[in-house]
Amino acid sequence: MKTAACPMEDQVRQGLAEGDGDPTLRDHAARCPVCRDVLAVSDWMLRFRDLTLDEMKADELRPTSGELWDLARAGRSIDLVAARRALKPIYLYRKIAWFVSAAGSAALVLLEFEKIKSLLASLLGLDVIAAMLKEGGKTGASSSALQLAVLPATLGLAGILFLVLVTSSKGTRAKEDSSLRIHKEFSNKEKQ
Amino acid sequence: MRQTGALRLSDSGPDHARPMMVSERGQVQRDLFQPFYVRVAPMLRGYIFRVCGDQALTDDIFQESFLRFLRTVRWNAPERQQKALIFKIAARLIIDNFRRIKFNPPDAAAPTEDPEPAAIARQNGLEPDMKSVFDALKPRDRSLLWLAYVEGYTHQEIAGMTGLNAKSIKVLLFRLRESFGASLRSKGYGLEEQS
Repeated sequence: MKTAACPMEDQVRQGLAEGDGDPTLRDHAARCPVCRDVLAVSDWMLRFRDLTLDEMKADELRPTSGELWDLARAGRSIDLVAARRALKPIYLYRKIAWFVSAAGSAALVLLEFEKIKSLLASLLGLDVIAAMLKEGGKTGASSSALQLAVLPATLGLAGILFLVLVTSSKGTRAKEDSSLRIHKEFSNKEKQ
Repeated sequence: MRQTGALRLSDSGPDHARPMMVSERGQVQRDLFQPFYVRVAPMLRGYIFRVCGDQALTDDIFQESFLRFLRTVRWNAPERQQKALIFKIAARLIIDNFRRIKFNPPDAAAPTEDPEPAAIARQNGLEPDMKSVFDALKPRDRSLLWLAYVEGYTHQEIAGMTGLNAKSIKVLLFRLRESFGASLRSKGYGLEEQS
């Protein structure tokens, strides 16, 4: 398909769009068949633009330039490397805290085993459970259904509690990692 | 003078002159941005709205365009270049959006046959025919027409904005002018009379 072209087409369009009433351009557009079409379409489009802007004038221009400026500055100030560096001591001290509390608990149990044992025995209900388990061990198959249910239920509850603790800790970490990853991907796209 | 918290902290150090300069530069850029925004924002919003045809989407693309623009703009560049940059960002966002949601306006499939009732267009404050003629075009064609005839960008500049070849833009605009001109004539806009 052959396209009719005029070297002044860009100039004519630009002049018309800028509202430049340059008479030489108008004269040229009146004589040149390509630019005559350009002029006609341009006139129509500019009228359409004016109607569009009139229609939109009623709407307040939101956000304001100040709001946009602040938003852009806030977005630009997120430095992922700096954020990771800032969070590093928190992650480190959290690990140390876990280790110290685990080691401390183990040491406490080992050193003060007898005291803990007597304390547990004095707690309401635990001595009953211990007695039931002891009796169950002696009588074997004659244990009641309630006695048989106590041990698995206790173990099950402890397991659930442990799982909840572990998954909530891992979930928090995973969320932090994924949000950082999303930020990183977004900023990579921006750079591209 | 407006200063951020980070800059105020640095003021106590020995190298306090540099943050002050950064802050002043920020203030100057902010002052440059304000009139630019007033001049360009209505035009950009009009362009996005006419190409997308959806108010909520227009608002989203409009805001995102300016945010990206503010992250990448060079304030010492000529205003025409800055304006071209923001239109480029908006054009790319519109294209991305159409690609992502596989936007397929009903008027793109059935172009000229009465895409919108005249009463609705009248409510929008436009001559019904003008809106229906323009909406009957594909989004890409609407974008090209607006950039070429309303903003007055050259083929080269439009090519940079849309990611197409300048020669392709020339051919596309030629075809568009032919078909659009015919459409206008059929609606009684009489191109010959205007010229």
